Amino acid sequence: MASKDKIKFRSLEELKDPSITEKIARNEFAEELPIDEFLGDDKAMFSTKTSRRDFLKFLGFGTAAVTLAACEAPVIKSVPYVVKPEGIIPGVPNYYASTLFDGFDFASVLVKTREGRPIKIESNTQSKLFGGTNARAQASVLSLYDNNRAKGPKLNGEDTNWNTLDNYVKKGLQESKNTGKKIIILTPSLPSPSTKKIIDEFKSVYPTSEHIIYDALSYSPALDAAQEVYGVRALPLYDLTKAELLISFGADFLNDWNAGHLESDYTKAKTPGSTMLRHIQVESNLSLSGANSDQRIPLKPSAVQKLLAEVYKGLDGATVSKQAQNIIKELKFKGSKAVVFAEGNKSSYVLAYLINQKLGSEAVKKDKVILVKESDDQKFNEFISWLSSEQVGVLLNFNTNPVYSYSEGKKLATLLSKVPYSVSLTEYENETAINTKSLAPVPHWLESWGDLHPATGVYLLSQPTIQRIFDTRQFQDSLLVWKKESTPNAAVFVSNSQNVAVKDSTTVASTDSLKVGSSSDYTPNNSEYVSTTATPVQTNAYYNYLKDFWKNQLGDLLGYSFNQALYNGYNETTETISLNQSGGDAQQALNDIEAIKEGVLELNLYTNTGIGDGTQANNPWLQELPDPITRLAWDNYITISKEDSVKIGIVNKMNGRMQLDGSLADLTVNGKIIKNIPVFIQPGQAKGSIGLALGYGQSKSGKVGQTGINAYPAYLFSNFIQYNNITLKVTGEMYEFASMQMQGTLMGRYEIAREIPLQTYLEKDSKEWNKPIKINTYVGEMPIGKVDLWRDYDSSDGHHFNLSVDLNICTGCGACVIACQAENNVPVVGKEEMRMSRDMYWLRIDRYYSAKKKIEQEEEIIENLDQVPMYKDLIEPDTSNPDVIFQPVMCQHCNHAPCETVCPVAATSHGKQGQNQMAYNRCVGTRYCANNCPYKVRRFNWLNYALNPKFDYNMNNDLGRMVLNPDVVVRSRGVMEKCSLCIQMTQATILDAKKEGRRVEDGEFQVACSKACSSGAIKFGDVNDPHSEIVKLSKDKRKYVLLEDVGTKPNVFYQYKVRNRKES
Amino acid sequence: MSGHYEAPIREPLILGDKSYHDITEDIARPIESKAGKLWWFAFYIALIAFIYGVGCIAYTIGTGIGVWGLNRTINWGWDITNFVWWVGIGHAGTLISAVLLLFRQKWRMSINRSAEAMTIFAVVQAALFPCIHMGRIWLAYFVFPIPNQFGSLWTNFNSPLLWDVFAISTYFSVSVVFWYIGLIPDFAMVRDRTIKPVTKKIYNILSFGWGGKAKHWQRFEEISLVLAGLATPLVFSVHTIVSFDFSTAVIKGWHSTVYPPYFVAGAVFSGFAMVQTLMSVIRKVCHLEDYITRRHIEYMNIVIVVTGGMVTVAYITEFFIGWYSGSRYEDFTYFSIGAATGPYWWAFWLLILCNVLVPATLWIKKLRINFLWTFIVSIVINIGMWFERFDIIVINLSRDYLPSSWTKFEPSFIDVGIFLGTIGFFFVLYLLYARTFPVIAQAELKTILKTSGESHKKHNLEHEHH
Repeated sequence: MASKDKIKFRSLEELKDPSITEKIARNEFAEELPIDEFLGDDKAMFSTKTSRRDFLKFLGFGTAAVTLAACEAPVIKSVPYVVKPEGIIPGVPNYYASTLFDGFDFASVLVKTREGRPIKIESNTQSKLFGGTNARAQASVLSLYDNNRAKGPKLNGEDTNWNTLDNYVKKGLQESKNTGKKIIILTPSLPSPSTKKIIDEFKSVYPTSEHIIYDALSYSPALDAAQEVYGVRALPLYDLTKAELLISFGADFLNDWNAGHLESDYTKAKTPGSTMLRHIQVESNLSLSGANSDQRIPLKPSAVQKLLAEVYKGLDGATVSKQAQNIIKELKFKGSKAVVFAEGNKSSYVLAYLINQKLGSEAVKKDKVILVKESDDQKFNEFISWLSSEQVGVLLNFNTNPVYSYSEGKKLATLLSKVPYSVSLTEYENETAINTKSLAPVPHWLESWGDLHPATGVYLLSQPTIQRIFDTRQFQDSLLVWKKESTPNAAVFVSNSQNVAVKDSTTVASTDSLKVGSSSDYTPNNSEYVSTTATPVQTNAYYNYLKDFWKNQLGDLLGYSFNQALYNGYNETTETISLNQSGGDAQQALNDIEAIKEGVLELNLYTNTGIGDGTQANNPWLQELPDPITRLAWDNYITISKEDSVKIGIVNKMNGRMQLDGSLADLTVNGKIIKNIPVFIQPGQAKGSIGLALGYGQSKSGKVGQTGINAYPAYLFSNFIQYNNITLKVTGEMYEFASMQMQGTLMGRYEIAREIPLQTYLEKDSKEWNKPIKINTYVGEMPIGKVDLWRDYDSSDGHHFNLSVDLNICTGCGACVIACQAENNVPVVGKEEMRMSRDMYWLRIDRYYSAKKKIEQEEEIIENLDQVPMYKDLIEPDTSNPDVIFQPVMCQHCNHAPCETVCPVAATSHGKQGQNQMAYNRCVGTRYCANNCPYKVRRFNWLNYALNPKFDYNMNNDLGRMVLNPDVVVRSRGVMEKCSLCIQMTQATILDAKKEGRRVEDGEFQVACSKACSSGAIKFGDVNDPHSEIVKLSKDKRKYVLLEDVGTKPNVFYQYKVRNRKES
Repeated sequence: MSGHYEAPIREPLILGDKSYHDITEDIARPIESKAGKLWWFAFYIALIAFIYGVGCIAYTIGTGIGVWGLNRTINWGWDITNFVWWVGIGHAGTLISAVLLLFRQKWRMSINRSAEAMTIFAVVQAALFPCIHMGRIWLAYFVFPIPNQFGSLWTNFNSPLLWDVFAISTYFSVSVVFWYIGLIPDFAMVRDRTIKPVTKKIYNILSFGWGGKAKHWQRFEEISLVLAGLATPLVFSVHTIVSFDFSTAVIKGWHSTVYPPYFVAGAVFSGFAMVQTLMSVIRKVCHLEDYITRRHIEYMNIVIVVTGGMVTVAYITEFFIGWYSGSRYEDFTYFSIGAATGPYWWAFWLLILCNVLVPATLWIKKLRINFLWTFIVSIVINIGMWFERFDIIVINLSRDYLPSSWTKFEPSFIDVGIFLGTIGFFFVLYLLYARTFPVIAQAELKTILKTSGESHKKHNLEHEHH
């Protein structure tokens, strides 16, 4: 306790004179500020004069302030979760089983979401059928974030709200009901049982309704043929693993023929061995299937059809040409192990089905059929006639775009404008939508509920994985609203929060800001429908409907709940049908084919792997994906044979930068002229035929979708092939192509993409055809892998990753390329940069043609290795019928990497797990590494590709950037980048196993490309796990290493392609 | 070093009847007189080119390397071509002043100053390219082994590019020091003659208080010899290391053991050609016909013929070994049938014409001592040596291992602009040098006046007869 007389002081001065503190405190400002003087001087205060010095001071201060204000760093808004949504852990992805169905493509998929936004599509590995994701499926996640999608309802071209639109539609429906005019529901193939039920209910309310199915790419001929032969209007389901001989007459079954999904069975059947599938492709265009065939017979389309007819007749014992006899001989030898595919009109399909029946082909599944395509041309033509006679009162157009894709699109457009009430329920305000009176935009499939019945006994479910980005409403929801005729403003709307997936709430705080709200303002002409009630945007009426539907219809059949079914995504029941021949008029089909008149020039339309029918034409990933065969990006074009090009006067020439220019030509088909189509000289194109891809040249679905030329006007009678009245006239102008690969052949370097005939593979020891390279050293002959200047990296402990690429299985489809692009935020660079050979792909698929000297003669060439090659023979591909080989090339992750030694700043170095790693932050961009890479897999950021108006693709807008993978950095300009072996994926796998305290199982390690490859050509794994599949593959006798003699010791290896040349 | 007897049949190195003072007058004249119209004309053109180049460089740095004509396969084009070309040019100076000093070749005295100046200015141009070719030049300091706070982050001492950093910087600094030491007595000469106070002050500082005492001269001679000894290995090391950029790489056509000697020979070849070009101009512009004589020209042409011959042998070796290997991957290297008949056939044949055929004319004495022909040949060699580097870099890269990656290169106007800019910059420096520096090492030259001067030779000859 302090005594009272104790003196407290803070300094010695205060001790001496206690009042000093007070004094100082009072006198805080040692100097008296002349405030009074300054403020008191009225004259000075109110004087407007500014002295020169003051002026300069102000000027200086002002300039500095303005300059500093301009220097402000950009503000990036990020909104944290206030309440953490259930099931979302920031940084941890959630996967949802769903079903891709966009009207054209379909697949059972897993959707990877991060913080509530879908960023990647992966195949649903638990699905037995339709689990494969092609390039378009992989890319469809980007279409979700497309800024060009329709953003809200419109009426008469003006923004409106849903109630107003509903009133408008209902008025139309009521009018039609009263007047007896037709109500047309125009949809693409819609194999959704619940939607069909809704449509049926709708029909019962509005009896004049008609459901018209229209597919841009019509499967009508195949379906009609099946109806005739099997009595079922469905596509046959093929199991190619049961086949040893496949003969395809123009059917590009590795693409969209028979609704796709054939590649995984096809590649399984191609496993080298005595029962390996032999594939003969008779076709005009060099298709993806033709490129993968063991033997390809290029014939013009009419000759393909005639050969098919001959084969049919020959099987019955008629005398036919030599060519047909050869095929018949092989067919007869294989009997039920053979299968025949055909493309063309109904007759072609009928013959193919009949041949399969005759052979008793085991590849045709007898208990299941594909139900996903329902195209009905007859019905559609009827619809056109109704339009012409003005019988249509209301048109509900769901996700079709016939003004663009129907051969008489222009005529249709004028007819549509005469329909009194028309609604487009489309994702884009497309060519058709602008010709309808109103727009009721529908969400992307990733924002939608749905079910799909793609094959007998197969039921797929889709669930939304993100809150709807724009003001859209599902087609089914709209129908549910519209079918309630009596309650104009009925509240079927339920609040947003219930619109959730099973495990998911998927609400990103920021998506709301991206949502373009429905506009409540209106214009006088819409006033009669205007509703004043505020409308909630979302509804989950269809969700409830779907749930009930499933409970009632399938609950018992499946034996588990809707939630379980949704969790599975893929559900299979024991339902079967019995597919038997019930008819088939062969004679009529033969007569029909007999009647085909051979044209001078015949047109064979096709769809390519990137664009397909054009549903996703505004997707820059797909437009930039080089065509697997032509390797051209950002275009469609006429493909023509070398001989015809000379005849017509078409040139393809390369300029000083090795960029390709081609002639432009006008194409006339049955009197219709399509102007200014670039022409590309395609090796292997059958003489007298030309090819042209559909799906390009859309005028209304965004800038990217405008790429190319619309070929649909030439797509007559739902037939890819047009035989007569086709002329091609050169305009004299040249067109600039963007090609990814200019040198088509291997230049005699056969050890790059290796292949051997099946016979050699079976009969000879692998040491004979897969000779290990040895070099002479002072201690004698040594295998090249043992001779080293450098010390080896120790890879004996931990994981060591290897990647195997099987050239025998790779079909070149490009799914891996898009998967890599999506996973690793690879930028889109656009046509100009592609033309400059500045693509940014981390993974590319090289395509090589055989030279004039065929690869068949490889053994001979190896024997004569010392001969100086004949450059001319090697450099030009065999233009008549080249063999094709695909080779995916990514960073080879060399254990002795040439790039690592030359980087002056050690920005690229070797990882403990075998990867060659890039430290972007350290890279100064000397590009020496890229020069020294023998595989040329390194990609330099020549310019800023993100947030640069010059590259106006997905990385240049807020919405498009939502697709970016947050685990992978977006590279800035001046930095080198390349394949990382998806280190973010392998690290996640390791950490997951570590958390669970277990070893990583074989097969758990995956990279984007291996995961996306539905045929299993790309396998990834840990070679330090002795039981792993990758170890087995590394010891396979087909294994080889790319450019082994450079001594780079890559962690990526390849497997020989085996071609089944032998005729049985 | 001087004062020795020289045979009278040897042609004189200094023409005319010169006294020591005449030499002083002749050398100091360009510094002391006003610049002529020709100088201003040349200077403006060079300046415009230089400014244009600066603009192109700024555009490149601001936008990205994408403004050049490069692509995914050909990641180096004109940038490294120009780099190697300028380094090569910067070779002759040190060779002339250091190696020839050690070999006591007196003819070097008339040309070594300018040759060294050329070296330094060329190395400045050369050093520019490794900097601006970087994608992120603002991080260029990463290439120096500077202690840092990024953990154990260090440069990669395996990389030839890092060796370049050391080789070029060493070469540049030694060249500058060597050049400067030689300049000291001459700066003192200018200082002593000038009457303008500012000029006097500047030259006073530059001349380091040179007094011309015997001790000064002794130290001068000693340091020159020591530096010559130091510089000589550099002559060989610099271009050897530059050649490592290519020869240690795995790209066919680059990966070649013949590169170091071949590059050094090529560098001397191109360096001497550039000296010839500059000398032909300077002797006219600065009226130094008496000091740069037919004999000088001939000696340099002999060096060109010899090094050119070495380069030719290297070419033949490259061609033969590539062919003899039987490797399909050698089909399109820059010396191969593929190159001669392929898309870059013009670059290939231009190289043969400029570097093999045209210089071979110098075997003929008449042409060897012809000033005009020498000038033409020197220009042709400069072009040829540029194409040699272009061929090595672009042809080899354009046809590398996997045919799928094959592309071609064509420069953009920015590529061209930057190259023109460095030529402009070089001549800006050179023209300024010609107006402010004694362009001939007059102090040294005076030491041979009594032995190699024309009038003295005549005098000596007459003296002998009597």
